[in-house]
Amino acid sequence: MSSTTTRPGTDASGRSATDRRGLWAVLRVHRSAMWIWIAFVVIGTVAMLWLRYGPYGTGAVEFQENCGTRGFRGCDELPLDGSEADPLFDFWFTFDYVATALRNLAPIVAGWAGGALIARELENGTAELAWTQAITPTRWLMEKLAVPTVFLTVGAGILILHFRTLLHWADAHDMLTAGYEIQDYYFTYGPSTVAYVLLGLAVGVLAGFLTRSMLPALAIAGLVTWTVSWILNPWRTQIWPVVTRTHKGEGPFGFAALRCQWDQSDHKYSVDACLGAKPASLYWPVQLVETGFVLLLAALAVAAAYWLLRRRTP
Amino acid sequence: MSDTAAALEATGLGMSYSRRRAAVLEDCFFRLPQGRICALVGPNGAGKSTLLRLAAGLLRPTSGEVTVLGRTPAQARERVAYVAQSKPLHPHLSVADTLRYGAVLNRAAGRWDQQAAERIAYGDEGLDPAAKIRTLSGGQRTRVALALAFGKRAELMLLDEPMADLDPLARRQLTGALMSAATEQGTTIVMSSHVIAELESSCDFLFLVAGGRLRLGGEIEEVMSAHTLLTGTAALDTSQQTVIEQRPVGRGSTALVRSHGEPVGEWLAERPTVEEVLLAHLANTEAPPLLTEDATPESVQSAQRTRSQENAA
Repeated sequence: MSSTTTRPGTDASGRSATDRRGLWAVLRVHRSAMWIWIAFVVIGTVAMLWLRYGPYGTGAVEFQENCGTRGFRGCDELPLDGSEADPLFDFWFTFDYVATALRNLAPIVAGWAGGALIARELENGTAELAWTQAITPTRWLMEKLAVPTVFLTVGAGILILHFRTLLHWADAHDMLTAGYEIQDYYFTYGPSTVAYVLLGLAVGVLAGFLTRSMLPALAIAGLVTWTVSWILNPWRTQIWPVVTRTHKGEGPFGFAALRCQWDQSDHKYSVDACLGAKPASLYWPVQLVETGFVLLLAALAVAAAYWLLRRRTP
Repeated sequence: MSDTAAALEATGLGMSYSRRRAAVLEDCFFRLPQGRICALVGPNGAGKSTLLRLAAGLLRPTSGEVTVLGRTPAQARERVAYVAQSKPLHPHLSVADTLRYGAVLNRAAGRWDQQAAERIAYGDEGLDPAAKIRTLSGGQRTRVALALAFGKRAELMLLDEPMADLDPLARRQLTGALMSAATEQGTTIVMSSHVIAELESSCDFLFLVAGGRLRLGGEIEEVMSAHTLLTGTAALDTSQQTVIEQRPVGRGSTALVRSHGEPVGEWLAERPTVEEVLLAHLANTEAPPLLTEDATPESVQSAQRTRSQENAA
């Protein structure tokens, strides 16, 4: 090992230079995926900004102004006839649309990672083309993982930050109703959403190595990722204690109590169901535990992919 | 030459893709000295591609081992170029970007020669740098794949059916480029093919693989001179020579034999063509394999030496 100890300086500079070149190679090969992702992040951001500052947001704010105070209707008492409430309905509809898109990112990323990132290259031999240049298979996989990880983390992080900003803003203007289930729903958006996207990447890579064929890898990776998030979903808040007093201000983001009262009067919900609200202070514990667990699953999938690669190639 | 490592050396090399199926390669021993242009010949499915993929470090052998330039295939990765039979390239990259891709992946090893790559790709009324790989014909893709191999300035080039889809002119150009690389830089080249005529003019070394085993190995000249084509009517004396193949011709018969230096009797002895020797060995899989001294691994040679010494003693 004397040769490595005699020139540590040159080694370090050489490594950073090759890192940048590796970046070029990965980006050039997956350039269209990169542009699609950047476009998605930009469009998502613009959509959320438009939702807030555009006609739906301003109209809904105007409609909900002074609601719930003396002399005005309650914030949940929406007129079913007439079109004054339309901006609020439009806001909700579009908001749910954005939320759904964010929830379904992970399976789509998984399908891409399984199909295009790994399996297609194994199937048509371009992976072997790379491995017979002066780059080892493990190094190749490292670059294949590192570059998308950076892009996905930054992009999904930007989207989630915007989404939570929008959520807080909507709550501050009495535009969110929160019921028993809907609270859990808002608990899902946070760092864990980014972790799910990375889980999608890891599961996709593993599926790519397992199937070595594009379409099965795409399908299996997407399905497995979707199933994992579906299985984990009910556990999210069930393992945490519920609060028994649900005054306004104690629900997630401080908007729990209103919907709860409304549900009781109209649908004869049990008092227990109403009391099952989760306080906003639980948001970070729930998010961080879920994020950690999902990242652990992702790490296991990546380790399995490395193990498969090491076993097949010398 | 014993101090320089062999370009390629296999001892007991075997490979099977699945436990249920028969082995693709079995118990191969061979050695390829550096600086040779070697033809790897055999029928379809003989294990030629598997052999090259093992040498290129893309597969792990199930038994035995292969060394490349005195190292393991994984350690020799920087010094070896490999062109797969299907000529895999990224279809959405342009020719220029493909060469840059090769440069990027190889520059860490400090060996990339952009001019050499461009000469192969663009020279002799070659390709348009801006053309996308997916728009190219099979032969043009081969040209790009070979350009990557040349750009790497490898010490060993493993080419799997490189000439199969090239037109005669391109074939001549690329053969010329390979020959000059071999003579100027001492590059060792292994080319596989099932058409021997394609390789006969340019190669000086030969491996014949059939049924997953090595049948013949050595310098073409030496392998050919070990064989004699006999025509006559007498019975063959099998104690003096190994009969590889015998066919009736007219009233007599012709036989391809491996003689042991003794006179062959009342037969017309001719020097066989390369094709005749190869076809005879493909027809008779029972024939004992022949490896010349150059093509025998050191370990096997020393084992043979000790055995012959023991016999003498």
